[in-house]
Amino acid sequence: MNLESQVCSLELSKRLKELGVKQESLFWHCVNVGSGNVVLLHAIGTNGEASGETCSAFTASELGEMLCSYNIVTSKYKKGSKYIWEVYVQDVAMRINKTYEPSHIADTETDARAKMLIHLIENKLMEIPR
Amino acid sequence: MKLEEQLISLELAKKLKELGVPQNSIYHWTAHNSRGGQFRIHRGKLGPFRNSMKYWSAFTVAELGEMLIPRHINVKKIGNIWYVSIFGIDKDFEGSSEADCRGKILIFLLDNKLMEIS
Repeated sequence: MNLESQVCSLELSKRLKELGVKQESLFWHCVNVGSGNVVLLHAIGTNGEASGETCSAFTASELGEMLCSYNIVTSKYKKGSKYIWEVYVQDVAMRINKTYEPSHIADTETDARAKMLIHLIENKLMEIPR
Repeated sequence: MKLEEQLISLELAKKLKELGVPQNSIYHWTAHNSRGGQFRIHRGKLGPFRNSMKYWSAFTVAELGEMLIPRHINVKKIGNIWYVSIFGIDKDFEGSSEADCRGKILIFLLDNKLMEIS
């Protein structure tokens, strides 16, 4: 499993940054302003190398920590010819009522978690992790 | 969140290697013979150093998720303790990190021959 599929995509990372999520992560997407090239940087020892626009490329662990006020239920199944990851969350009130927030799907577990986090913040169902 | 908190502990990494889990992770716990066997985390390919050190895959949450699937994984955190369970097994696996909980589930499944190593 390569590193790129273990961090959330550039698009989702940008959205999380826009929403005000604290930019504290092991990896960073760095977009070169001139060329538009995107590179993935390891935070350790790369200060100063980030000559461009950056945003946190969160891992599944980091997103799990941000979602941890909820129960996170993850599954993976085959849809058509490819596998899809699906993430649900449930908090105490939902457990009592036996309900879930709508699920979010993506090609990777990390992206599915990122989409769920965006959904929860956009719908004011959780505070922005700062 | 520190790197060490995102990876399976050395103890669990050793157990998974013993059980025959392929050592194809991004990070490895390593012990260089030339450094008195001190344990370190190495990122990326081990390359030519592979023969001069002991190493164990330090799997991430995402890598362990790939190995545990297809199964529903239920994750919660109470205080500082993580609890992870999988549907069909009536047991919570607890640990100080989500990675460790997932590692414990994988060990349980392999020990009890409930899954095969692919």
